[in-house]
Amino acid sequence: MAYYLEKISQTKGHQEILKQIDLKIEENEVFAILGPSGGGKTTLLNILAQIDQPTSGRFYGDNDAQPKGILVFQDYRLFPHMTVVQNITFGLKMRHIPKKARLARAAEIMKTMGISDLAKRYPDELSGGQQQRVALARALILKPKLVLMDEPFSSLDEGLRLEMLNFVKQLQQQFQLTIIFVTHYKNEAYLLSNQVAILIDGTVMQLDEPAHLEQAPANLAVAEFLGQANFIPGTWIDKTIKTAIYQGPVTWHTAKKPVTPTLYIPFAQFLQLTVSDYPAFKAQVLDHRWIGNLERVTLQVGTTVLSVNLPPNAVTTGESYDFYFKQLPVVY
Amino acid sequence: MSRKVIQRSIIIIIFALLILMPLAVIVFLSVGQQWHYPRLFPGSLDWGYYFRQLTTNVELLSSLRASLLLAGGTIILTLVIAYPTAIALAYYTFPGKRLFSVCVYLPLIVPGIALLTNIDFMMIKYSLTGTFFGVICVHTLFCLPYAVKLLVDNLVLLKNRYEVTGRNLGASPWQTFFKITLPLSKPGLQGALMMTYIVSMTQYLATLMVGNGNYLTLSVRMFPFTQEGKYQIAAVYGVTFMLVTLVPLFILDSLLNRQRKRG
Repeated sequence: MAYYLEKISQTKGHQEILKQIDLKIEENEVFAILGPSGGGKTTLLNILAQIDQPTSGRFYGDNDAQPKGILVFQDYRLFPHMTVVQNITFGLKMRHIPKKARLARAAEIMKTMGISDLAKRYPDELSGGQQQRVALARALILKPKLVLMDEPFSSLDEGLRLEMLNFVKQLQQQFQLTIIFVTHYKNEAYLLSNQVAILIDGTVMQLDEPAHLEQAPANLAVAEFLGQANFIPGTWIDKTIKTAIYQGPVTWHTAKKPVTPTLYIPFAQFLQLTVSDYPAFKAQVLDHRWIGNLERVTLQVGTTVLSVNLPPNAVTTGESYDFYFKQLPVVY
Repeated sequence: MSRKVIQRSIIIIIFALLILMPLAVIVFLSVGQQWHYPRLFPGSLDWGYYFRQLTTNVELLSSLRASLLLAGGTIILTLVIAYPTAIALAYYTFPGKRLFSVCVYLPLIVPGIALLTNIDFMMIKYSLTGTFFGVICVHTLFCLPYAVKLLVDNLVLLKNRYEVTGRNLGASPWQTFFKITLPLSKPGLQGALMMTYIVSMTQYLATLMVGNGNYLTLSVRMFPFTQEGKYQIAAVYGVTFMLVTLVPLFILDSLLNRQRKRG
């Protein structure tokens, strides 16, 4: 079974929050919706959770006319007046499941989540990671087909974030879940999901695999959102571009040739010191810093300063080098 | 002791005296004997006098009963009106909401005597004067602003986040109300209840006018005594009044504190 979002639009007041969203989400898939804050991510999630009604369009499944996702909120929203076990069994209680069965299922899910010893505690006695596990348990005890997660890891610190990310992945396989999650951290999206939809200004600007997203953003808005790139404004001279650092042939991924071209140079995988068919520019190295297995090198060309990622110890500060594009440079 | 501590202690002592001295005077008045000028303190204290009054004075006991009954009725009526109003004001948007939320405070803004004479007129028209319902209606009118304000502040603090969560987990609207909204409003409801209780207990003019003299509450009975110079009996009423307002307040407050400590 797959889920379909068909021309979903949402208008609040005079503001168009979502514009004709069309998406298909396969069963047992982790689907990421990535975008900046205020792009309509949470609104979309609320519609899928039936908390909000779209102005137009519909959300349906192959054999479920009105699928309802169980939403795990960014701030977890554990009921403050209930203990952990009361929180977890809330959904079952509302469905009038007998107490004995409720508690048995709660014990089982708490064991899976590793929170059995927290049963009697109140939410304000838990750490962020524990609260998230309780929130997940409260959703998963209902055996949902579709789980929605709103910025699930953004309030956790770095170490815990990776741990929870792997844990969610493991749960997804164990419970055969379809997970739709929204985030504004691209790394979270890439780590958890093979299909990422970029939602900016209420529009799905691109739907792609992580690697392809980075290499070929659909437009300038996506490229700018993904960041980790230099944007150099330029002008057209016939079919070549003229910018402060580079003059020569370019290509573009957009349907039409951009009117005012912006040269797109991502930090990674675009510039090299090895000679290629596409000479770029001569630049002086201002600085180079260790960022894991690469170096972030700051370059100066004339008055323009830009950054690229290079292998360690490839350059020396103060020296000038000839740089080459790996392929024909791209403009937006 | 540092200067700061001394300064703070002095301020606290001054405030304590400002509050406690008038209270002490009332207590002394109610139990003191032969307290005449130029004596600073009563000649003797007869603690039994107050308790004898409390157990034997039929008028005092009937006033106490009337006060408590009216306060109880007012609390019920006020909360029945204020709670849904507060939910509407806190959770929903509707045209004229701002105007409406200002109107809630009108009973406190419009001069009481103007309001009361007109209300009395209306009450006569609907033959509500002198009835229990008529009196608690007027009390409710003066309690609503406080109750609505306290409840709205409490609800706005939580927004409807938990209600939304409950609905998503499958609760019906009624289940959501009883399992989530109501328990989470407890601090607001307790505050509103207490405020209503105090405001109702202190209503003098409204009780007298609309009650047609059928409801001689503590504050209604107390007033003539002070005017006639019967200070001792007035003080007995005063102490009783303070006890029945302060003791429940204290109990409720300590209950709330205990809950907070748990959290």
